[in-house]
Amino acid sequence: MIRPVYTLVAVALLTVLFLAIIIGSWESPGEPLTASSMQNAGLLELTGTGARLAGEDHIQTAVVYSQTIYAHAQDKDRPGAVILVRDDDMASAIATTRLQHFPVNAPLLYLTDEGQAIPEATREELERLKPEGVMMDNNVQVYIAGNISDDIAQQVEALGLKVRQIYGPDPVAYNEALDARRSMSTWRFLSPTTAMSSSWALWWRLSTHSRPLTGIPIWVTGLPS
Amino acid sequence: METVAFRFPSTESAWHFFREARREGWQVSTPEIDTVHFYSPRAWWLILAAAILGAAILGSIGGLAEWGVIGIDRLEPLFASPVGAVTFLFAVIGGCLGTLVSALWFLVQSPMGSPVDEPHAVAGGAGDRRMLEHIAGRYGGRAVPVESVPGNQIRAQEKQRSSVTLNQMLAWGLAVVVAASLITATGYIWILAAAYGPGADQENRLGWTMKNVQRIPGDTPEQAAESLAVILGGPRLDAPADPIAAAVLAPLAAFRGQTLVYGGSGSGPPDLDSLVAEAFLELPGSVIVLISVDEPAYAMPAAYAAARFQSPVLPVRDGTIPESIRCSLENSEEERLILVAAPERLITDSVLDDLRQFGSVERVADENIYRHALTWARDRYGDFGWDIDERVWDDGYYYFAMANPETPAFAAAGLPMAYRGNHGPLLYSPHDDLDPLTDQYLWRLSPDYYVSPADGPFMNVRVLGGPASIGYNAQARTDLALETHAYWNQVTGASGLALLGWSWFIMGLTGAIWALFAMPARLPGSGFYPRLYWPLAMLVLGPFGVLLFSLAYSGRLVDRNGQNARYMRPAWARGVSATVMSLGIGMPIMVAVMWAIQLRGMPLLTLFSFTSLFWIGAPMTAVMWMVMVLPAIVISTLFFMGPMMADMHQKGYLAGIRMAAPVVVLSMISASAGMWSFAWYFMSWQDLSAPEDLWLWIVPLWAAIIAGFLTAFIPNYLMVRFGWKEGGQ
Repeated sequence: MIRPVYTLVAVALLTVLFLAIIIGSWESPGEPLTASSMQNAGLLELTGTGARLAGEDHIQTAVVYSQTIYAHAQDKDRPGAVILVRDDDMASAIATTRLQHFPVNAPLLYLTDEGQAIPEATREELERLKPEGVMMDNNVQVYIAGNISDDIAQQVEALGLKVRQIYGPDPVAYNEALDARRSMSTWRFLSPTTAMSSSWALWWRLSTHSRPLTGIPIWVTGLPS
Repeated sequence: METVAFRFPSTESAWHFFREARREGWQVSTPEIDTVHFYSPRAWWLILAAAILGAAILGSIGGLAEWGVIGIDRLEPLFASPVGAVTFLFAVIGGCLGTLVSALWFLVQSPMGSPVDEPHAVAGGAGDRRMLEHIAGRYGGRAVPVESVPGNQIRAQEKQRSSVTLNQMLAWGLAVVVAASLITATGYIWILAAAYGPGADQENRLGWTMKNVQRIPGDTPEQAAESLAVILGGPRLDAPADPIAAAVLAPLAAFRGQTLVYGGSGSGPPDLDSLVAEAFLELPGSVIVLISVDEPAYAMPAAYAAARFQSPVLPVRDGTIPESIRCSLENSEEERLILVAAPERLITDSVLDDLRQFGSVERVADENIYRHALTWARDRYGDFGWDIDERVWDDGYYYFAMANPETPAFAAAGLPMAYRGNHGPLLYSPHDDLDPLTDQYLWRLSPDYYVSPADGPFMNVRVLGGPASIGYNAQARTDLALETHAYWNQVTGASGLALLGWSWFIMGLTGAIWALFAMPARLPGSGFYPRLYWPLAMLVLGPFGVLLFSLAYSGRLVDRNGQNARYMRPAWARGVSATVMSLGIGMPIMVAVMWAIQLRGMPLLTLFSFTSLFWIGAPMTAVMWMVMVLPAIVISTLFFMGPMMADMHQKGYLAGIRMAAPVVVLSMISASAGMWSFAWYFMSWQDLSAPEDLWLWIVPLWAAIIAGFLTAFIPNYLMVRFGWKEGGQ
């Protein structure tokens, strides 16, 4: 017979070892923001009850959204993944908004040049976010959504991120692929519906998922006049 | 009263008589057969006392934290749960600790009784003797003279040293790895919450705006004030660059509908007395807020309330108030409340005594500056005060300003936020991270929704100060704490449901450690394998496992005629024991494998997309069966149940595997059907799924284990009932 105290000590030591291995895999805590609180005050203008979220262009505006929602000062305030969409394919981009929420939890960032290039602002934000990975889907960290070249996937993988492509040659085909994946990832096994129209997706997004992102009821987007 | 003695051919027949005669109302004793008792009645009472003591001590700590008296640093997300939940959790932890320590302390090694060929049973009582003899006769009992029954002593057997076989070492190693995996999985949730985990470099951020917390632009108080003048608009009331002067002027600005601009009138020394006189002249004075000119950080939270409720602020210098104000107070008959916003160190009790002639006086202050600010945010006096009390379940759209108490000028610059725009009280934060008291306050206050995140309410904080005053991490922590979450889940915080789950787990963990020591001590002769599978079963079955253990062993007669002790139990208890035997290792393996897979991401296959079999690719269906249930069946059979069966029947390893495999397959499939159906329903349809690093993770799994146990009990009971399987050890 093995004495109980040996069993207890063995379990305790092994637990400490397992925890040390996991904690050892953490990345460094990172440097906090030290820039002036006045930085880009015009783009991020405040009112008594609202806030403007804007970048110099639509690419940076998407980055600002991401930075507003995911502070990433610690593990719990980073996203599950990041979704990359083409900046010239709004139908796919709008449909993709329904991938953003449960169980994925991801901001949407833009690719340029007909899905051939990762702009610098998007790349920097990807590096800042270091997504946690979506547990429901192999810990995928970046979804590349729409008719986007394989080169992008390779470039993102080179950043050390796990990638999943949801490909469709056109928005309708893409929407079907997206729907199949989403119905599985939410575990609900609903039969995949036909592709959601962009207008329906837009309505759904605006009606249910714009307000909760903020403590203040109204966001103003776009450049200050 | 009659005493009758019988002699039986075996322990089992004596046990049958024992049960039936007791059912007929007889007191039955079996002097040569040992009965399982874990503790003496006195020890039970002492263990209960220790449990109560432990619960009282730790419960008090939890209660004081919930009341805002002490901060539990790094475990603030626990406070996302409803009021009382943290106290309950701490009381459970304390009770379990008290129980464990005392129960191990009073554990006495029980002597191992020797085998008995023909045991006696003695029945006493006033029942029908002929019926008793009939029962005894049915089990082969012969009446003997009472005097011939040996004394009420169990003969102790010499302790036998048994060596551990390779099979047993493998089973032990597996049990240790599985237990360590489960404790790692659960422990990691606490460690991650306490350590915050990895963050990221923020140099590419465009600015300081976050969803629940924004920063007023301004690296100096004057810049912040000018920004606020633009943000809030309205006519300006330029104030001197002096926090006390700003505190005096803010209620006046609010009363006149102006935006106070700190430093707008230059940085020259203010004429405080005339400012105070001006304010007293214009403002209604039923509530007066007394502040000290020293250490303005204490004055600021009160100044925010005074500004919002337009009550005059009266600064005290050297223990005195301005003479002109004293005169006006003396000449007025108005009933008034004087609130003193400074600790005794700054405004002494004698000053308060002196003021009592002008109205009722109350000190609203705390030496701890963070608790001081929270006191002002919580309290309400008639029509005065913010009344944002996290200890009351009262949701609202609450807004706050936040500053560092070491730079009170920023707090003064933010005074217009006490009464214009989304206005609210002032909270304080140190530079690097929130103070635990404030952090707990925000987690508890954080909004919950039942249906949709769009339900609200939403809360917002605006931070005053440059990066040198309040750092990025403190702002980000505030943002995290105030995020809206589903009431039952809370995601990053702990919901009440999650804390119930943790209480359940901690009770099971306590039971597991206790059983590990109690089985060798109190069940001498019990087998090698039950001593592993029972503690593991308790780890996943929680207090339900402790109850099952008690049903399986407590008060049972022991048959020592075989290689291992046999415990005499009715069929249902044998079914319970058989289920625990089949699942004691299998269910923890399933959970451990599930955790390991969650850690690296669950597989999602798109192979069957666009066909009616699309659901097979979902993580919770076929894939899960392949990666969780099948390995659990194989590992459990090869390294645990097989060797155990071989040992029990004194046969070879392969024969053991052949005997174990059908039992394990049937038990595990029935258990997993209950377990994963329940888990799937709970996670998918009740929205209670959580990744492996969140507080709620434990709840659906540990609840599903109970469902799995119940579904597995059915075939196990039938197998025992019809003799296909032994009833466990």
